[in-house]
Amino acid sequence: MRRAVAWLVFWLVAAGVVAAFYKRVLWFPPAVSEHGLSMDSQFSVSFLVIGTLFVAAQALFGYAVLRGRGKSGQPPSFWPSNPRFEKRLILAIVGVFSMGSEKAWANMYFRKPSPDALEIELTAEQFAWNVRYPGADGQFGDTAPKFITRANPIGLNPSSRSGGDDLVLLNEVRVPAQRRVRLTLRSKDVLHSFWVPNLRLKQDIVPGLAIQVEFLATKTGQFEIACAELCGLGHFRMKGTLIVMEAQEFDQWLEEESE
Amino acid sequence: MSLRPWFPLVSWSSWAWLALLASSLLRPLQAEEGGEVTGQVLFEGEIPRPKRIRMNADKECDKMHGETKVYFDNLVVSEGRGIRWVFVYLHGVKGEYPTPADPVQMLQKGCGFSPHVSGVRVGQKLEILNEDPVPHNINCTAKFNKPFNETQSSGNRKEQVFTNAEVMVGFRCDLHPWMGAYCGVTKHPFFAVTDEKGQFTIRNVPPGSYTLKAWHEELGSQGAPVTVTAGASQAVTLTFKGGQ
Repeated sequence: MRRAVAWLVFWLVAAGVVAAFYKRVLWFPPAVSEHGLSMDSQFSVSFLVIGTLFVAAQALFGYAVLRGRGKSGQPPSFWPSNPRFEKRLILAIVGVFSMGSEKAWANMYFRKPSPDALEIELTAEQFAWNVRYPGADGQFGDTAPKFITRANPIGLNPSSRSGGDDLVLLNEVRVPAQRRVRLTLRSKDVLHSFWVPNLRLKQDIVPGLAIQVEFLATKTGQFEIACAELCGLGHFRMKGTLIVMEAQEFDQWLEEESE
Repeated sequence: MSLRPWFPLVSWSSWAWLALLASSLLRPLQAEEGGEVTGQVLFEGEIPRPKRIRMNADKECDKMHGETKVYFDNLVVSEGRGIRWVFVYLHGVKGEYPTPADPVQMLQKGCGFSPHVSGVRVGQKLEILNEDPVPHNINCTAKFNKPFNETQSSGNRKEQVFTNAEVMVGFRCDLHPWMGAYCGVTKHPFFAVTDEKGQFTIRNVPPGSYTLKAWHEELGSQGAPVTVTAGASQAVTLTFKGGQ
C-alpha cells in the first residue's frame, strides 16, 4: 500500500512538472527582442535534443536494472566500449549545437554596427542607471569626472558644445519598437551587469571600458532592468525600467523631454 | 578665639572668590557680553535654472510627491541673488563651550535629506531618521571622522557622534543618487546656515577678531575678516561667483 502511494506521488509530480513546462508556466518571461526569439528557438532545440538523450539514457538504465533483477548468481554481461562510435556521437552533438548556436551568438555579438541605430549611453553606478540620449544634434557631449555632482551624475562638461542638448534620465530607458538600439555601457565605480530578461540581453559592465551592445525590441511594453552582478550594499534596489514605445510616440516623447 | 593661619582658604568668601575667578576664565561669555555677526551670501553671474529631480526613477518616491515637481538643492539662488544652504562659521574661536545635550536631527523624508545643510558640535549627537516607507542608505563620506555606509530601513534611527571638527561631512543615499546632505562639525556654537534669502545671523559671539568662513557645496569656500564688539552687530556680505 505504502509503495503504491509512493508511486502515485512520483507520477503525479512528474506529470505536474511536464504539464507546467508544456504550458510554459515554468518558463522564461516572453522574449521581446529580435535576437531573443532566435535564442529561445536555440534553447528549445538544445532542450529537446538533450532532453531526448537524457530520457533515452534513463530508459536504458532502467531496462538494464529490470533485466538484471533477481539474477544474483550470474555475472552481469557488459557491452564492450566502442570509442569510435562515442567520438562520432560527441562530434555530431557538438556540431549540431555549435552550428545552431553560432548563428544566434554571431547575430548578436559579431554584427556590424547599424548606421541608423538609436544611440543611448548607459552609465551604471552604485546603485542606479544613468541613461543619456544625445539630443537633437545626435552627438554626445564631453564628460569628465571633475564635473560630477549630484545634479550632474555623469559629469557632463557644461561648456561642451554638443552636450547642451543631451538628455540624462535615471533608471528609465525608453526605446522605439522595431528600430535597432545601440547601447554603450559604462560604469562609474564597480562591476555591474545590465540585464533585461525579456530582451534576453545580459552584458557585464566593466569600469574603464565602453562596451557596446545592440538590440531591436519587437513589442511595446514595460520590462524590468536588473543589475546581474553583485555590486554592493544596495544591489537589490538597482533596478530600472525599459519602456518600449511605438516609434512615433517615442519621437514625440524625446522632443518634449529635450525642450 | 584665635584664627588659624589657613582659615582664609576654607572660609566661604574665599571659595566664592576663587569660583568667580575660575568661571570668568573658563565660562563661555554670556549673551549680553557678546556681539552678533549677521549678513548675506550673494551670487554673482547668471542665475542657473533649477534642475528637476526625476523622482520616477523610484516609483515609490514618485508617489510621495504626486504632481509636485521637486528640484535639486545643490544651488538655490533667490530672486534677490541670495544663496541658500551656505554653511557660515567663525574661524579662530578660542575657549571651551559646553556641548548641547539635545541631538541635531536630519530626516530622510520624501526621498530627500532635510535639512540639506546643517551644523552639529563635536561630541553632540546627530540623529538621522528615515521617515519614508522605502529603504534608504546613509553613506557618510567623512574625512577627519570615521566614515560609515549603512542601510537605513523605513522608520530606522541612526545616531552618530563626531569626534573631530570637520567642515563639511557629506552624506548620500546610494539608493537614490539625487539625495545628498552636508553637516558642518564644529567645536564651538558660532555657525549658521543661510536661509532662502541667503541671510544668516550668528549670535552671542565673544568680542574679538575672527575670520568668517562660508562654504557652499558647488561654489567652494571663502572667508572675510570680522571684528566683533560687545553688544554690537557686525554686517558682512560675501559674494560667490557662478558659472566658472
